[in-house]
Amino acid sequence: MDNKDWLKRMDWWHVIVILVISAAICLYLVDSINASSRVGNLVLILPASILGLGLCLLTLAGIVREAIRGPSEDVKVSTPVAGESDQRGVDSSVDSPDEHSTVFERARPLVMLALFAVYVLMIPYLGMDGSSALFLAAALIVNGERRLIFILGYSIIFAAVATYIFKSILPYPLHTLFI
Amino acid sequence: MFDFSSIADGFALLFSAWGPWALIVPGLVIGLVFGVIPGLQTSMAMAMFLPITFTMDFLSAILFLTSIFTGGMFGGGITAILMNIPGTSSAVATTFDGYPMTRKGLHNEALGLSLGASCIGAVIGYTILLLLIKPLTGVVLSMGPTEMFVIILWGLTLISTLSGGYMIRSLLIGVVGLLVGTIGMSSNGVIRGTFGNPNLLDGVAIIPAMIGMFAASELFSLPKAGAKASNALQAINMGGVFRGAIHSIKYPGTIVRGGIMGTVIGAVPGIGSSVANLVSYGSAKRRSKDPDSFGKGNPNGVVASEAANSSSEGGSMVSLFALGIPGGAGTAVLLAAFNVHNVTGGPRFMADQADVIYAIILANIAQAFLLLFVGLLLLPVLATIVRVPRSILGPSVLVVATFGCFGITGDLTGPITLVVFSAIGWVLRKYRYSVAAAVIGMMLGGMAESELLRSYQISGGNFSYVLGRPITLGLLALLIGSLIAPYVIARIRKSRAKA
Repeated sequence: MDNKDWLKRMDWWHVIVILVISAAICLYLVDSINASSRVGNLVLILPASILGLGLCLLTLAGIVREAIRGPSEDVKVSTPVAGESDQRGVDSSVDSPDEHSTVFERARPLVMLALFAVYVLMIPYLGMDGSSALFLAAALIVNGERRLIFILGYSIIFAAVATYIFKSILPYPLHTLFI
Repeated sequence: MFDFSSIADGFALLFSAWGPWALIVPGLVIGLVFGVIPGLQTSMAMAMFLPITFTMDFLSAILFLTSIFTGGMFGGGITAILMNIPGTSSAVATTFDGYPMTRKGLHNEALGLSLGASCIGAVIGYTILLLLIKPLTGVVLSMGPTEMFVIILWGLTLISTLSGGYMIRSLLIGVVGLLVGTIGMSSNGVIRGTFGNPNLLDGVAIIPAMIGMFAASELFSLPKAGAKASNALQAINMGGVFRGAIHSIKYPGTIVRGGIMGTVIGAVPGIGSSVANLVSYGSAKRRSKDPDSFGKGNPNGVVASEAANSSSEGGSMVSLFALGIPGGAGTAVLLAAFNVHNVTGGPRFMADQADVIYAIILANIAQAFLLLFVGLLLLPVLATIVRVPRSILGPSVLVVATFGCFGITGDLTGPITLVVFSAIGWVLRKYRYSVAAAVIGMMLGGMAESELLRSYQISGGNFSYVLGRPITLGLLALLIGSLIAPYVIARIRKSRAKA
């Protein structure tokens, strides 16, 4: 492997994730020390934070090493954790994205996540029923559904039924627009 | 070995009301539906339906959730047999011989074998749990806060080292989970990490966070298409399946061995059914007089895999009941249900509420028999559900999750926590961090802190106190061994490969 371009091969997004985790740990530690520096308050937080920061450094070292020499020496286990799906074992055989998948297809999870965030933020304005129907319609379009009647019918009926059921069983008032 | 008085109390508790029984069949159906759809997980179903259990009593809630667990274990095997796609990660080994049987036109027999082995496997798992509860109670009652703290760390270490992905990343995210679990007001009244947000005073809303990490984060990446229809899906014959289920008792050795292996492996935090089915399959193949027939439609392969993944459920309950520590995603949801009903798993729970534990175990054995009928009746419908496009399922499940999370907190805190943690879960999955380690760390953070604080108070901060506690030292040795073992095994494999 060519060692000169290791900076280009670095997974910078992963580096950013590690930096965010490190910053969050530091912030929490400082806040905890400011709240109380007694042993009773820091007995777990201080050693766990130090351990966490050490593991962040090791992970960063692994990312750099991977960029320079190829796959990391961090032990990689091939078995999936109990209860977690193993995408390799479960879904890849169905329709895993291949090299021909479009940019949009690769970005689809992020688009769905953004839609989901907008959906939740819209609840105070559009109610659970209105925002759910809009989210469903938008998500169906993002997922490739093109039959307009189906999109409208399914999203409205599903949102209405879900709102009605949860409104009946929840002990709290549910903010709604129509139902 | 048996506490007959508590077992009798368990029976009495179980038959004092019909409510808990009425929830078993719906739970099995939900588990079967989630299990059969590739990409949806049993633990996801348990997390999604957890809010519904808030209005139930403790026993009903646990029985409802465990019936989802039981149903999901069999559901995952259906698509494994019919389409070579394991519905869940615990049914991977079922594809090895299940699908070849389908190609030979023996899909009804394979489904029946799978159903029969699943039922018997679940009975074996819970029967072993029934036998172990009494001796376990004595052992765990002798443990103090120091031992409990080391067990929490050991459990998290095992989950990180044995789960998929990278070990250091999983350890890191387990530690971060522990820290997140301490956010809010401590037992000393100190407020940490809330940054002025009153919604965080009681800590992060754990159930929306769990639904976000386990379920929602995975739904964003669901492939669009549904499973393609095949002739096998349209030709399920109930009589053939029933005969297959009866035939499963022709393989007693494979089922019992698979059941015992599944229970033992299920009891180890971090691995459970995902590994149990593969180990049991491997063992059945090694023991067979005709190992070459495996992978070509040998019924023993289907039976070994399904007996092991179903029995692992009983095994996974060991650490939950005895120590209050979940070993995987499914038991993590059960622990959340414990917390919701103000029940703390562990030594005191085992000693004080033995009747409830026996009631849960006995009901789960009954559940396994009910699965036989529900599974048999539902198979044709499940084969239809498989064909529903996941482009529709994903957003629909997200909407239901949002309603459920609103129901947990009564305001937007639940849905917002859901969004935040589904984003975190998505990032963790993308970079191969163990989501289970993060969630279990979050759930155990508060407990770990209080056990460590009690150890500190008892010992007066003197570390030599630990040297006088042999169980703690033994557990620490196991913890260090768990950290080193993966590296040693990797080195040995590497040197063998070179040789």
